[in-house]
Amino acid sequence: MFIENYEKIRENLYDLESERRVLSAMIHAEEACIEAHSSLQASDFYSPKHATIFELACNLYERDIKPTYVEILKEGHSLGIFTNPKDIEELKYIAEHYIDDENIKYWIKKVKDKSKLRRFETFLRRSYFMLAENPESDAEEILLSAEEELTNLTAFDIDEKIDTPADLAKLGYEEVEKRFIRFKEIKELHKGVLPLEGLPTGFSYLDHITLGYKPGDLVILGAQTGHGKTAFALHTAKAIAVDFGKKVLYLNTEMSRTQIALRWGSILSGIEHERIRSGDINETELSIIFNAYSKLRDSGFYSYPCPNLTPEKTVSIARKFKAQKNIDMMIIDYVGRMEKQDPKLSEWQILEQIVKTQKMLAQNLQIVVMCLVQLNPDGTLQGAKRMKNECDLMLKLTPISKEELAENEELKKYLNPNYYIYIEKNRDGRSGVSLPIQFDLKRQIMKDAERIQL
Amino acid sequence: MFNDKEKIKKIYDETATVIADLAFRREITDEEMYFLLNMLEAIIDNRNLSALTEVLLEWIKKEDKNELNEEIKKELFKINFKDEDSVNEVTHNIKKLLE
Repeated sequence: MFIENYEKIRENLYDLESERRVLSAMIHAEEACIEAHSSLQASDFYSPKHATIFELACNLYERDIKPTYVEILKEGHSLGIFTNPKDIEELKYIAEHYIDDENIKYWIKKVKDKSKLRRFETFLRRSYFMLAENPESDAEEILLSAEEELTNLTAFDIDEKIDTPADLAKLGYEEVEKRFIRFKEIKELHKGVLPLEGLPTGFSYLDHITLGYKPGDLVILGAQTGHGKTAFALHTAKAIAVDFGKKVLYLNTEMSRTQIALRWGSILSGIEHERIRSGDINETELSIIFNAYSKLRDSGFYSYPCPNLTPEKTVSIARKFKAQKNIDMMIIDYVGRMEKQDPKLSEWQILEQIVKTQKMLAQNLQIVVMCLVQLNPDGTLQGAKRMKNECDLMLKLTPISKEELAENEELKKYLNPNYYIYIEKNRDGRSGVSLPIQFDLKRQIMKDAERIQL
Repeated sequence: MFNDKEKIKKIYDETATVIADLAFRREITDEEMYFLLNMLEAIIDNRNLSALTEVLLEWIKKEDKNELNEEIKKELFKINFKDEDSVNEVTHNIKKLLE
């Protein structure tokens, strides 16, 4: 009776059809690759052949190669995995028989569920044999250990981790030790200047206050129309991807590839944007611009113009670029232009949904996500309170009025400031601070406003 | 009945399997297999290979081609199907060899 039931149970512990559908979808569609790569592991597959095909497809995908039937054949052959016709029978079957790439999440869930059930069955079997072999074991001990294992089975997903008291104590001490050494370094080597903890912001005053954009941070930058949102985004990208050699993914909902490329010409060469756009430059300037673009060529800047961007799309694009290019930051320029998934939602609900998604994304992928938002003409922000709750750093870029320039004594200590970066929220440090900067609109260049030496 | 897309997919799958099988049975070398698989992928990607196909057909039709075979193969193994210049250069070189 037990054996009969056990056979029945075993049959329910795997679902080869779902495994084939996941793999087939990966072979046929990039979206499926993104989902499966981030949700599954080879060990989730029951069939060893399926696990191998999954690993081959993931290896290719991580190298930015579409895992087609041909590419998987080549990869398997070059690694010595496929050496005779029998080795590719299953792959051939999958490639030929399943072309369904819709409902990929459904099939992934089925594969994952079966994988969890198998782990549960292993747990039951192990417990059963333990009881059979050690009938005199301590009941308390057995139950406690079983409870812990069972909790792990139900609570853990691929990237979830529960800290034990020992884990947390270790982490705490390591962090304090790190800071202790850094503090000593600051005093001795850096003469009191705090080194960055994250990516440079492109402004030394802002670096000083924030210690840089840190992995997992959601940064929101607000500015009115025509007041430097894109210039700020590209200034940030320059500081991180060109000057600092890290990788940035830039999603733009408004501008074309050509427009973005031309902006870089101006930012990197220091020649007026309008003149570059119209071609009104001399040969020396053309040569300067050519050299300027070589900096972009060697940088870590990836651009993805995407007029129909949705919050869901940002998730899959970010996952793809994290897996394939190991990006450190994603900039979304700008969230107000994102497509509405549900037309019944009001503006603030959409913004809330967007920022929540982006915060989760930043934490899960351990990247910085910067969202650019549009300020109202009076300098306020739609749904500001909810955005402020979610983000780690909220900045506003606002012009300094002529009156303020004339009256504010503090501003007179700086050389030609014309914009403020106002720190509205800073989870890790000071907020409510206005930093004067110089924004050269003609060249689309931003920099710290220099203090006048007295 | 198959529609055009399904037909192309079926041809692609079958051809890839045949190429891999030939390599497993040692009837073609690994290099030959990689070349054929890459060419198949390029055709499916709708890359324009008409000039190359033409010279390859010319090669097949040619009598007394044995002495040329190895040289032409060497040329073909150099090809990068993702680079149009590479395809044109190899096509041009094979054309010259066949003259």
